[in-house]
Amino acid sequence: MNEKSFLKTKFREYYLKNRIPLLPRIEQREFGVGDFKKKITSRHLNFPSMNALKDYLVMETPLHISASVAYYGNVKGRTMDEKQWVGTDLIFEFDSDELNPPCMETHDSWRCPKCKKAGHGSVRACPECGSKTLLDSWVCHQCLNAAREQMQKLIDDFLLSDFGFEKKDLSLNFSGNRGYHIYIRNDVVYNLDKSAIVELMNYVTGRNLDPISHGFAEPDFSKSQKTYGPKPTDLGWSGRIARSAIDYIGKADAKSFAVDFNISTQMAHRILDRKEEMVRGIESGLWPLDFVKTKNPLEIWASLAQRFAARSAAEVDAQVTSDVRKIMRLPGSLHGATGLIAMPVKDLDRFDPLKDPIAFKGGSTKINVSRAPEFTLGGETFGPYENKTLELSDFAAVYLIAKGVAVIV
Amino acid sequence: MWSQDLLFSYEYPFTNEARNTLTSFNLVFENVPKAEIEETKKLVIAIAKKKKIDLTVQENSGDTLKSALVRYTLAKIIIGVSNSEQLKVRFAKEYSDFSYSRLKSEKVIMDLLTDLFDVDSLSFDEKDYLVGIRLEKYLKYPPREKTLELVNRNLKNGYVYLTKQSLPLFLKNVAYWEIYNSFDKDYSKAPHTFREIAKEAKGAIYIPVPKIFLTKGKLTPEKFPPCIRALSKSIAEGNMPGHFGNIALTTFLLGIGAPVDFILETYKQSAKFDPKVATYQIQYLAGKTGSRTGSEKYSAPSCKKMQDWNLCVNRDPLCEKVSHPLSYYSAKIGNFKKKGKADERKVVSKNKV
Repeated sequence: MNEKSFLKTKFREYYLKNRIPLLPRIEQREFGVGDFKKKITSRHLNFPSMNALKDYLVMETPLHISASVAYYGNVKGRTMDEKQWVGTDLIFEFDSDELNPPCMETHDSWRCPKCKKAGHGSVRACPECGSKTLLDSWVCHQCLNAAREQMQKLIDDFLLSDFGFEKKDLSLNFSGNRGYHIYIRNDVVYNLDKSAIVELMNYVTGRNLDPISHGFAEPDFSKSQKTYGPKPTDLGWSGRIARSAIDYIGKADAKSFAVDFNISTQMAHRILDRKEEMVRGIESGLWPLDFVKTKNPLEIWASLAQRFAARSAAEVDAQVTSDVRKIMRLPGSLHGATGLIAMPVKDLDRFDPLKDPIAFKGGSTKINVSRAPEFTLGGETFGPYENKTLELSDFAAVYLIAKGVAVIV
Repeated sequence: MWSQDLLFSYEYPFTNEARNTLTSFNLVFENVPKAEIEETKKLVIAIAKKKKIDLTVQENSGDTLKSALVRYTLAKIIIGVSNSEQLKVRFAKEYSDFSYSRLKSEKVIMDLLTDLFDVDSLSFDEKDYLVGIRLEKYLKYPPREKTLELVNRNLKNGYVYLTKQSLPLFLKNVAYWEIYNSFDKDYSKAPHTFREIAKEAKGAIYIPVPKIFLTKGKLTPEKFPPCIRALSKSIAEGNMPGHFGNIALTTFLLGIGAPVDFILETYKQSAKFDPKVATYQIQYLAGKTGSRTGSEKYSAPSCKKMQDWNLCVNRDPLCEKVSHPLSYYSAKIGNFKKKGKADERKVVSKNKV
C-alpha cells in the first residue's frame, strides 16, 4: 500500500463513522477537492444536501475538501459569471506562519534547491543566491497560540464591540494545520458586496487610516505647540490610537524615543521625565510636543499614529477576507497535509489544537521518517527523527505521512 | 407658488420625497414641452462635454422648481438609455455636488437623513456625534473620500457615528450612489427622441487621452521599487493608499517624469477615485497649483521617510543598496548614471507630454 492509498483508507474510515457539521446553504456553494500534496485539483463541484456530501466523501474520499464562502444562484455554472454570486459569509483567516512567531526559528527549516544552502527558520528567498527556497514548516503550541491571540483580539476589539456582531453569528474553526478561521454568517453579512468587505477588512487591519480624520490637527502656534489629537475615550480607531500612544509613552525607553522623534538621547531622557504630563495631554485631546524643536509636530504625531495603529490592528490574512469567491477548508473535514480535523471550536480557551482535532485514536503503523524535528501531538512528544524506522500511533503516522516526511514500511 | 416640499425635491431629487413630488406631476412624456426637452438635451450634452454646469434655478418659483425636477428626471432617462458609464458617473457627481452645496442647515440635514434612512437604522445615543448609522446601511455606499472610509470613522456596537462635519459629506456620498444606482432600469420603452439625444450625447463625451510616460521608449512599472509597486497594487485592488501613500506614489511618478495625465490614469483604477480632488493634489505636488505654484515639484520621499511612514514593504536585495526609491528605479532601468543622459531623458519626456 502506498502512502496516498493509506491516507485515503484512513480518511474513508473517518468519514464513514463521523458526521460533517451542517453547512448552511450547502446547495448554493461551490466545492473544490485536492489530492496527496495538492490542496486543490478540481473545483466547480456542488452538493444538493449534507447527505450527498457525505456520500461523496465516503465514495471518493478526497484528501482535501473546501467550500466557497460565496453563495451562488446557479452553482452548476462553469464560469464565475454563470454561477451568479448572490451573497457571502464574512471570513477571517489567522495563519501562524504569517505572524512570524519566534518558535519558527526552532521548528522550521529551509533549503535552497539551487545552491543547496539550508538553515533554520522560514526563509522564503535564499540569502546566498536569491532563489525561492523549499520550506519545511511545523507547528507548536506557541505559534498556534499566537494565531489564537490574534483571533481573540479581532473578536473582542472589532467584531463584537465595533461592528456589533453577536457571538451567535460567529463560527470559529481550527484550520486543521496552522491556524484558525472565523466565519460570520447573518443577514447583514449575506448582503455585503465586495467593496463593503474590503472596507471591513481595511478597518480591522487599520489600512488607509488617516490621522487627520481621527482628530489630528495643526496647533495654534501663537498659543502653544500642542497638537490637537484623539482622546483615549473616543470611539473606534480614534480612541485606539490614543490608548496605544499612552501605552507607548508608558513603555518607551530613551533610545527608541530618540529615534522615533529624531532627537538626542539626552533630550529624550528629559522628555520622558515628563511622562505623566504627556499622558495627561493626550487624555485631554492636546498632544504635547512643545518640548521638541520642530516646525511640524502634526507630521510627527500623524506618522507615529500610523505606528500606534499598527500595534492595535488585527493581523488577518487580508487577501482571504477580500476574496469573495474563495473556497475554504470544509469545517469538520480532514486536512490532507496533517490528518487533523478542521474542527469547529466551541470553547476557544479550552481548545487544544494539537490534541482535540485528533481523528485517528488507537492503532499503530510502522513507518520510516526521513526527517522531522521534535513535535507535540495528541498530548505526546515525538522526534526528532532522521531517517528512522519505527512504529507510531496512527494519528502520528498519518500526520508524518500526510506532511510528506514519512513512508510506510 | 412653491412649497418647501417642492424646494426640497428640487435640491435633493434622489429622495423619496422627490419621487412622490414627481408622481404628483402625472408626467406623460408625450406631453413634455419641446422647450423642456431642448433644455434637458443641453444639460446632458454639457455633462458629456464636461462643461461647467450650474443647476441653480434663476428664481424659486413653482414653475422653475418643477421644471428643474422634470429636467433631472428626463436627463436621467436619456443617460440611462445611453448606458454610458462616463455619463452616469458625471451626472451622479454633478447632482450630488449640487445637493451638497445646498446642505446648509441642520434641519435640512436631518430631513434628508430621515428621508433616506429608517429610524431603526439611526442612533442618537452618542453625545459627541450628530448621528450613528447602522453599519450595513453605511456600507451600502462605497466611500469616495478618504475621510468616509470605514477605518476613518468612529464605530460602536454596529453603528458608524458621524459629526456635524462628516454627516454632510456622507450624505453627498449617499446622493452620488443613489443617483448612480438608479440607472439600473429597463429603458427599452424610452421614447425615440430620447434615444436620439442619448446617441448624440454619447458621441459628445469628452475623454482625456492618457499620455504614457516613456523611459527609453516604454514605461517600465515592473522596475518600480517594491514599496511603489505595493502602492500601485493597492490602487489596482480598488483602494486609495492613504495620505502618505498618495504623496509617495505621486511624487515618485513625478520624479521619474510622468505627466499629470498618466498619474491620474493610475489613480483612476481605484473605486474611490475623485478626479477633482486627485487632479488638484497631483497638480499641487507638481508645483502647478496652490501655494507652491511655479516652484519646484515636491521631491519623492527617501527610503528612510518611507520607513517612517510605514510604507517600506517587501524589501528586496536591491533595496539594501539604495537609500531612495528613485535610485532603485534608476538602477533597475540602468539610467540616470550619467548626468547628461538624465537631462536628455527629461527633454525627451517633456516633448512627449
